[in-house]
Amino acid sequence: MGETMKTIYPIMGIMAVALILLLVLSYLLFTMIVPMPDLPGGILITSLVKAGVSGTLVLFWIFVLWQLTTLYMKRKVYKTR
Amino acid sequence: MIQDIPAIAVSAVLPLLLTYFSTAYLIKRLTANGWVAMDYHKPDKPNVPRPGGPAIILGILVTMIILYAMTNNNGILAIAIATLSGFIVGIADDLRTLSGPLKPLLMIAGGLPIILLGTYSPYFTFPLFGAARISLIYILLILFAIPVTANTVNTIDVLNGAVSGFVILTSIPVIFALLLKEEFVIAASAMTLFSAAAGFFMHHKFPSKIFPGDSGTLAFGAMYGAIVIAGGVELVGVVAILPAIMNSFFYLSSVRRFTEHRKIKVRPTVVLDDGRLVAERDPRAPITLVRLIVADAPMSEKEIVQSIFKLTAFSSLLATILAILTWAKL
Repeated sequence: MGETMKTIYPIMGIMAVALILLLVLSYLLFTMIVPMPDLPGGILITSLVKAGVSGTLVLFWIFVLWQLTTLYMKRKVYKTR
Repeated sequence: MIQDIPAIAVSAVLPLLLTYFSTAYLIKRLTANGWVAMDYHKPDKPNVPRPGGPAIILGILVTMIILYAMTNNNGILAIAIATLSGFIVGIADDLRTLSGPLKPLLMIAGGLPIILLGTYSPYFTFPLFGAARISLIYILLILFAIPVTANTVNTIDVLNGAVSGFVILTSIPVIFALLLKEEFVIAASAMTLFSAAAGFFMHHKFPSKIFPGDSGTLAFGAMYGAIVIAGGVELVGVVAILPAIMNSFFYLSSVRRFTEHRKIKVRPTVVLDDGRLVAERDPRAPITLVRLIVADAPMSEKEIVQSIFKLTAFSSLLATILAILTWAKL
C-alpha cells in the first residue's frame, strides 16, 4: 500500500501544480488581457493580440505540464534501465 | 430543475441496465463467433471477447433518444451524434486497423454536430474570475476537442477495468459541475455516460470477461468531450482526465510520433511467472503510466489498476474543487 502510494505521489503533485498554474493563468488573463485597451490598429488588431497572448498562455500551461511529466519520466525510467 | 428530474432518473438507471445485460449477451455471441483478443497481462494469456463497444453504444444511444424525446434539447442530439461518430471510427478500427494519425482526423467529424446545431456557448468560463468570449477560436477548439478526448481516453485502456473505471470517476466532477451550473439536461447526458460505464465495468473489471475495443473507448471519449463542450465545463473536464493526458505525454515523449499501439515492437511491461507486472528494461519500449507505476517494484494487475483509480480519484477531486471555485454561489 505504502509503496504504491509512494509511486503515485509525484504524479499527484504534477496534477496539483497543473491546477494551481491554471488559476494563476486565469488571473493573468482577467487582470491583463481582458481589460486591455484598444490598440491603434482598431478592434481587429486588438482581438488578434488578445487571442495570441491567450493562446500563448495555454501553450505555456501545456509546456510546463509536458516538461514536468518528461522530467519525472526520465528520473523514473533511469531507475529501470 | 423539477421538470428535469425524470430525465436524470432515466439516465441514471436505463444505461446501466441496458449496457449490463447487452454486454452479457455480447460476451456469449463474441465468444461463439471467435471474436476474441489475447489478455497479455495474465500468465496463461487467456482469450477475452472483444469488442464491447456495440453494447456500450446501445445503452447510450437508446437512453439519449429517450432523453431527446423528453427534453427536445439539441445538446442531447449533438452529444449522441458525436458519441456515434466515435463508435463508428472505433468499430472500423476494431474490424480493420486504422493508421495512428487517421483516427484523430476522422474523429474531427464528431465536433461538427456541436457546431452545426449551435449547442455551445462561445463564453469560456474560468475559475474565480468569470467568462471570456472567444467566438472563432472556440469553433477550432471544438473540432480539436473530440479527437483529443477520444484518443486520450483510449490511451488509458491498458488493463482490466481501467478505462471503464476511469470514465466512471471522471464523469463525477463533470456531473457535479453541470448541476452547479444548472445545466440539468446536459447533466442527464453526463449521467448516461456514468451509468453506461458502470454497467460495462461490471463485466470489464479484473478479471475482464470482455474488452471494450476502440469502438467502446472512442465512444466513451467522444461522448465525454461532447458533454464538456455542450455543457461549458471545459476546464473541469480537462483537469479530471489529467492522468490520461499525462499518459499520452509519457507515450508521445518516448515514442516521438503518433503511431498505432499495435505497431510497438517492445511492450512497456513484462508479465512475471507469478502474474505480477514489471517495467520493461529495453530502451525501445514506450514509456507509459503503467510502466512508471511499476518502475520501483513489480505489482499485480489489480494493484496497478487501483493505482490508476487513485490518481483518477485525485484528479477528479481537483476538478471538483475547480467546479466549486467556478460556479458555487458562496
